[in-house]
Amino acid sequence: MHRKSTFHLFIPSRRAASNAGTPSTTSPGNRKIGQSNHKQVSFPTAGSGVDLYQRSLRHRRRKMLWSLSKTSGEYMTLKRRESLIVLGSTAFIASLSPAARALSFEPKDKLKIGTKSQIDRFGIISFSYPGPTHPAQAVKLHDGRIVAYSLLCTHMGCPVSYDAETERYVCPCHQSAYAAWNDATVVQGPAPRPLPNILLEEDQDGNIFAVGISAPVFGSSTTIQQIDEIYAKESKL
Amino acid sequence: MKRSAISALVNPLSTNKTSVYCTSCRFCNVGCGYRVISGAMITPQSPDLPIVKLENGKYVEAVPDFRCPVNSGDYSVRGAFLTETLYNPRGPTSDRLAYPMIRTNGRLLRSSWDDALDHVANRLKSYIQEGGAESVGIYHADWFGGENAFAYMRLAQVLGTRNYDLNGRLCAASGAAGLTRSLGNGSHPWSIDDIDHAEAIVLAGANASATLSVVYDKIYTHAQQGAKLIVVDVRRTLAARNAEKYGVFLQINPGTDVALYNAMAHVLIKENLVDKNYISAHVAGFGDFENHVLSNYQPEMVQRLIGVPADRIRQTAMIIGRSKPALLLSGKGLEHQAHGTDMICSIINLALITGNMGRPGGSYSPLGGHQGSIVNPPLFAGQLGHITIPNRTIFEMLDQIDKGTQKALLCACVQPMVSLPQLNRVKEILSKKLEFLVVTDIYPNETTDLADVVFPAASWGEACFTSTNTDRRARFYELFSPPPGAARPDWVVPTEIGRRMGYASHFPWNTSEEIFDELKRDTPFAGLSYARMRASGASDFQMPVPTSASIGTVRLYVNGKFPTPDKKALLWSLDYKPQPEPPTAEYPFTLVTGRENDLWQSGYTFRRVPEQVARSPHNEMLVNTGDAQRLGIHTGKTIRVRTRRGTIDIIARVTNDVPRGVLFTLWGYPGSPTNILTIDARDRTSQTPSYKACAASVSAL
Repeated sequence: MHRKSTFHLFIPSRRAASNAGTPSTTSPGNRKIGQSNHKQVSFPTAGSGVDLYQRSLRHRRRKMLWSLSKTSGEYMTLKRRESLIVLGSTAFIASLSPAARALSFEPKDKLKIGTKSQIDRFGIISFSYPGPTHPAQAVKLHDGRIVAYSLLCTHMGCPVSYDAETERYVCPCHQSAYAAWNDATVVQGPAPRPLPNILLEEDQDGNIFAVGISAPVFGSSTTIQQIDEIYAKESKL
Repeated sequence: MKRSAISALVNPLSTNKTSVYCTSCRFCNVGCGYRVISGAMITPQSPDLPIVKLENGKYVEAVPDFRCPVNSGDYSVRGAFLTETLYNPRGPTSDRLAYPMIRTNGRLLRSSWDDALDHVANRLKSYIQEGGAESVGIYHADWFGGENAFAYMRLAQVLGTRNYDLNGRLCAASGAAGLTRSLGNGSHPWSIDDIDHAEAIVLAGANASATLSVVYDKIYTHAQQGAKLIVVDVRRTLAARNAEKYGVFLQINPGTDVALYNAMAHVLIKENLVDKNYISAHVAGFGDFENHVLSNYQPEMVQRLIGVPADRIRQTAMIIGRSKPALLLSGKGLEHQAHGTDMICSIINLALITGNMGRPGGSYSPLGGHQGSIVNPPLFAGQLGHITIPNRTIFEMLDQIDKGTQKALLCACVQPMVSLPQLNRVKEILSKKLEFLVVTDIYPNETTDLADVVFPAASWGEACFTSTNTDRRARFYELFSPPPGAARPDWVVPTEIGRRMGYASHFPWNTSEEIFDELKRDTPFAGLSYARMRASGASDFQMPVPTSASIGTVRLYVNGKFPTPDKKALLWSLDYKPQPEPPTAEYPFTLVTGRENDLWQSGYTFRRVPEQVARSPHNEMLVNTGDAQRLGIHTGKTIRVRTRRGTIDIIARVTNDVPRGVLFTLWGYPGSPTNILTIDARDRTSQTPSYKACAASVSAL
């Protein structure tokens, strides 16, 4: 029924297959050449009422992802080894969430950002990642998932702020909005790409660590060498 | 100049060095300036914009130009992916048309340029011998470069056909007609700088955040700094939300604009907020206008019609009257209407009686949709300096084809199979009645599917050309990338056809620069040249640029002198006229069409950019919550929308952004032919179709 679904699912499954062999070392999420390698399922944007719309379709998206995971078992194994993005009792949702499937994370230094009890209590933890000048935030969503994003808008680098009611990150400069519950997909405004997703990890004591990022944060340019690597990878596909 | 420097200028593709080119984003009427950095090894300049590697091994990056006064380094979601729209044989743009094709036994087969051009020239010759010049027509875009448009215009002139139209007919024609009727000239009077000086900014029927994002960024920033933002729209857009915060949002009933602006004029006159000195010196027809609005348009009399309480109309009019200066901008909401010219004139009346016209920060202008090829808004009578073509519109051409008096049509850079209203009829005529269709385009599309001959065109970056943006600023596009296969610039097609039909002396040019030198004679930009634009970027030149010493005109009508016989602007006493197809019991809804941020017009370029596809994966119909409950529709459900002309199935989105009884959908979403539904009712003066209003019914599937 979802009209373009086959088209959208086609791209990431290719990406997933390519990731299965070699753990990702570059961050193709940011500099994209040719085919998309970031998003696999996405939903209409722009204007209001979007949130409602996307939520109503979320269970359908999960179903689609479930069918995808059956076909790319290898990829799931890889993701499990890399550790899951979400914590505790929500691990089941995490394994089905698009974040765990479409994004490839570049490992970075392990940084403790807080504890599980802290985020349960305040709903939000601010930290700097991957560098000391890169603001980032972990938030607990209404459905219990914990997600973390770089806070620099991909348009001009303004720091975005979280709107808990709509679960969106909104940029004060030009009103770009990102859906926190959907990998920070752009839902409004001039921002070209989603906010970089940050990979989280939890240990037995309830400490939460940031361990990787899906794309370079605003201002840290990709080099030509990285572009060449992406081209080399794509020509192998 | 040294020889090596000249060769680099002539063929920039031959050098191995990193080069910087002056260019501009062509995906809306703002025309943001970009610098393209290209070379075998480049250092990325922008933090987050895509770099592509071309077939010839060179990297290309398009960086928003910080020195360009239009965007000052800002960019929109369309401009962000400029480089990804370049030809890339390994990417999603790999299906670019690369070779001329001739339809043989029902299939388009590859041919050579010479064969295809000879074929077209011979067919056109035989049609003209049989049925005269009127059996041939030309319909092309006006945003694909002045040089290309000029070559087609010259072809129409030498063939002697009156069947010549531009796709600006579907876009800016009402704005141009309204400006001409009131002020004597169709040029946009404003400058983008006006935003920084305005105390109040009115966006009338303009979803600027989606369609002219960078101009909207400026407006939003200025509103945050204290300017009043007034938005008049049927739909509650992002701009409307901001207007609720920084000013006033008037959610009017579709098509009631004339009544609203007349009521505002009534308030301004009653409250003595009009500029009497300006009116007596520069405006004609105030007496009649005063009587007309004072007797017929008291806000209380029209509040039910407009759907906005009289108090709010008064409040808004007072804001406009007390803000010195106030900037009035209008969008397609006033132009895509069956009475669009009247609506434009009624809002110009407001700018004139408040004395805002020509004042820095206070002006009126239509924002426009796409860039104009030679002047903006485009030329509708085909008048340019030494060329005049009295023309028929594309709709008259369709009627002629239907009757059988026109046999051949040349299309370039247009998609009549998506963009014209009442698509079922258009398809019937173009596929069954038309004998010979020649299409020049960059991608295979719905129109090339019907074509007898297809020519591949060079796109952005693959040819040099110029255009003009919303504030009459010259935009210059430089060549930096090789076109796919045998694709060539658009002007080659009319030039070669003309030569092969025996008019070689009328087509003396061999490069686009030579065409530019030819076309600029006797025009408002005679002082411009490729050399000047290459040297300093095109952004400083606002038309008119009469001599090579002048740098242009920032805004028009600064001295209050208008290009009319008595040098005065004219106030029009206009009456509200109902929509051509009011809702009935069978078709109880008003269907409104519009645009989306990441989707440029019919979307054929950006459907190839994955990030853009991800943002709007399918078209949807906005339905009011109350209506949806009554009809059993919920978000995500497929609904059937029916008008007197056709039926489409589409996914619903239930929202309070549209009022009760109104449906909204995208105008040209690929694969979702909204124009099957729209009505072929047109403005009497400008012949722009009424895309914004027709009666429709909805049922859940």
